[in-house]
Amino acid sequence: MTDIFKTIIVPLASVDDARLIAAQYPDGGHMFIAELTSDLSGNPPATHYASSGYMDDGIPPALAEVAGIDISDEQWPDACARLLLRRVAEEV
Amino acid sequence: MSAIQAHAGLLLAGAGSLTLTQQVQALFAGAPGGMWAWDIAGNSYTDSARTTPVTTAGDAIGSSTDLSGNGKHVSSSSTARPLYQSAARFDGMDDCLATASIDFTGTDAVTVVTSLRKNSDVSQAMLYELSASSNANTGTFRALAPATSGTNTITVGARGSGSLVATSPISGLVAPVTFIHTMQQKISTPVLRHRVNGGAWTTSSNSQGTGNLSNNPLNIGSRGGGVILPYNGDIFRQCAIGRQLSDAETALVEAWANEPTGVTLP
Repeated sequence: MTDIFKTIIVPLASVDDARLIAAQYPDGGHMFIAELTSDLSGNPPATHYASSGYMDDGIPPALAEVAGIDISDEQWPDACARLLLRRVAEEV
Repeated sequence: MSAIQAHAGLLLAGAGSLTLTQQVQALFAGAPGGMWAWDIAGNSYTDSARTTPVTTAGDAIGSSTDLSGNGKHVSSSSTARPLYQSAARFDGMDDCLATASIDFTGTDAVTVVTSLRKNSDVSQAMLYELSASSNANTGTFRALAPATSGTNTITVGARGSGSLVATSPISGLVAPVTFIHTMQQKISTPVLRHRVNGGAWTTSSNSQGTGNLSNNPLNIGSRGGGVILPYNGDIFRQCAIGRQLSDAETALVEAWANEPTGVTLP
């Protein structure tokens, strides 16, 4: 296994598919949990989900055909800026 | 008492040439907790099983060794791993580290010292928290950096059997900013206080209830070891010890945490 760095953003409509595919790979069972929104104030609901960091190198190509998915080498803030997405704001 | 702690204790009794790390290790004799130095590559591994050492900037940190001798190593997995950048760099998205449960049930006091570089003030973030949620679980503590979204602050919260008590935030910490943060909690007094760079304490004396701390994982860089309240910044070193350190001991741990950062301390 080789790990590679990727930021992957998937729309809400495809997130279940993406999670199922990723879960077939080592440490891929907890991906696409971070919530993003197209609301530029960060208000919910989530419209997209993201994972960013090192992952099994089999995951990105396996996800390539998922509808609407964005896979890049960018840091997540850069990918979000390009796609006009924000993290869903949360407070305790 | 572990071999490391015994060694440090013997050196303390017999010589004045202890390193700062050895002096801090000696404070753990009989006390629960852990200490981690992410600024030193040799303390971390790319995998969660601690088999493949981190060697290069940008390597993912899958686990790091607890230097206290208590065996409370931290770990993470997959995309949640922070990156080694002469520190553990948390991306503010999904990075976190967590220990196995630390049994603080024999004490009602804790001191946590952290050297960090807060890289963003945009979103409220959990620097560390004992248990999956200090809102839900008694005998817990936490630090938020920033305290609330869009502020240049840090704050702490803690509780015994009662409701969560929070201090006033310390402000003026405009990201990116490097500093040493210290938190102390003692349930029975009661006291909850924190300070930055060895300065004046900001204190709450509100009741935290009764009882001792809990037996839970220490989550570093997010709530619950997941994507909730992800911290955006570096952590160089952290020491979490289950007792209220004296002023001199606190200053010693702050000096140890400050070794990689060079912040001016009193």
